[in-house]
Amino acid sequence: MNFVKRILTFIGASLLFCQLALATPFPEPDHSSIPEWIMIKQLMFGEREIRDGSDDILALYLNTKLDDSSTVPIMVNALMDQTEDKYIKTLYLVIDRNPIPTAGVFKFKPEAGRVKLETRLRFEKFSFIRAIVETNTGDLYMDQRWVQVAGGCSAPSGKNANDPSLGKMRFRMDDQIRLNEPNLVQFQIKHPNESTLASDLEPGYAARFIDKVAVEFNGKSIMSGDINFSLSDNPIFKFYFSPQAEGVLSVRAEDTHDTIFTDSVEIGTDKR
Amino acid sequence: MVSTYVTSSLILRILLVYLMVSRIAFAHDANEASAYTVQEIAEGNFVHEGNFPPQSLENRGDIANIGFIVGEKCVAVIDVGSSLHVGSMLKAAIQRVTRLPICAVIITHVHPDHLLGLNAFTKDDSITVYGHHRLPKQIRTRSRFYLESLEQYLGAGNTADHAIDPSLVTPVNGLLSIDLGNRVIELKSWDYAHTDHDLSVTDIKTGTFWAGDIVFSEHVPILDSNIRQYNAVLEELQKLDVQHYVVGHGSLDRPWDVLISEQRRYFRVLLREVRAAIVNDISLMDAVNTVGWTERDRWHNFDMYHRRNVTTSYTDLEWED
Repeated sequence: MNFVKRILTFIGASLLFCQLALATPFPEPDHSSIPEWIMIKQLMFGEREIRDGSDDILALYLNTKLDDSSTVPIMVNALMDQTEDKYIKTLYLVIDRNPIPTAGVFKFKPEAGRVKLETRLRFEKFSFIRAIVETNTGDLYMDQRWVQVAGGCSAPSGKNANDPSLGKMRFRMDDQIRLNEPNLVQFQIKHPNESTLASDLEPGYAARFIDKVAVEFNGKSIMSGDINFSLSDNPIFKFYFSPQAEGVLSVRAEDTHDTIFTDSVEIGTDKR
Repeated sequence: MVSTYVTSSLILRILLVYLMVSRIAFAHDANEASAYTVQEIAEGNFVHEGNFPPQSLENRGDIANIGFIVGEKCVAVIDVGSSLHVGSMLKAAIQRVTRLPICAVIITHVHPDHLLGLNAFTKDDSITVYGHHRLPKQIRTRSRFYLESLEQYLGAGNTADHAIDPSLVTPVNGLLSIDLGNRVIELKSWDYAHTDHDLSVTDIKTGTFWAGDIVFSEHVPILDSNIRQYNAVLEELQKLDVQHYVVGHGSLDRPWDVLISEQRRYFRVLLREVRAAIVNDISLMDAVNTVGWTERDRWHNFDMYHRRNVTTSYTDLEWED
């Protein structure tokens, strides 16, 4: 009799366990002891110290309730101004457990006034997302968030790679541009930015994603990024720049099929 | 003598235990099979009403309305549930209703709660599997992730027996009629509705429309496609002469016209408020928490799927001219 009881208790307990595992959110692990991160950190930064920057250097924002692992909006805000003496030179976005963990490496200039980056990311597995900034003085600071959505990289984008509007760009900024202070600018590129995981596994078919973007104002670089399919389809970027004069903002993007997409927009103080 | 008694008593006890355990197991299966009921919503059209998603251990993945149509020659199955377990229960239910063979299995779309029970039927060579012409590609790209999720849900275990062979699917592009013996059913592939590969089934004799997940009842509609084209499909559906219907999720006894009207209202709100958010430069991050939330109390599982619907429509509509 005891034997039967024990069997039933065991079955009951294992049912209950599975249920709990499904019903309760996966608890947030300690971000510094993730095996993938320990390896990535060593490869990217060696022995260099990465300090917690969440108090005064940078803040990473995203929604805690996420429903679409292929489109997770994130925002990184610098908590310090860009000055000639001290400025953020590079922003690294790392998703520990994505097929390519380095989602993006973005370069900024002191002339930006302030660093901000909004974009949308894909998550293949439950993972930390980390924003790491490197200052001109070579110091590293990080802020991170735990994300519980999965399948975003292998999810098909549902869009046709032969879309006639492939490479089409959309710009967006305030109606009135103010000189010598940070203005928000947004651009978006129509592109499936597809992942190798979502590809059809057809022989000879190579996944196509954007790997480089560069933004210039009057021929001078204001922001650039090395990216990949960890960014959602139709990649979007929103950031600050501080124009000293009217001029032309131009974007150049390149994908893994060596196609180059360019577009530009005139920026005036009293137009639009 | 004493030791023989002890031994035989032990054997007896083991036997007893074995019998009890197997009887419990048997009783469990018998209960479950008879609990898996189908109702005849129109002559020859049988439906099993699933529970509301998400799948859990209590509902064992039985979360979609699935069923079959019986002709004079053979049976057509419409959707096969989220696992071999659900698929087998549907198959057993068919065998309780009729001795006629199954000649067709129709998959309305790729989502796992409609698809993953397929292998409960495919051992039989005389069965043809029908799907939208874009279904095989969707199976190829999505099934790895679906099987991983199923593994998580079943606990440890091997889900290889659930793997769907996309080459089994006979593709449907446009309209296709199948004769089940003095009963013709019509399959129709839709371009962009709930997904980009929905297939509906109409039983001509009774005017029964099997909508798959193109139409929802009480359950918040799920958008895995393009909102503008989906909306146009709903307009078209509202004009159909539907005598009886089956939808993938929710109650089946509400008026067809009410279902479509409710869903169109939801899409109207979504379209209007997403467009406004884009014009007013409200970011996607904020829009998912503000757009369309007046609809919250009107639908089941709103919190689970609405934000995703906002994301899907926002990322499409932001490219509107």
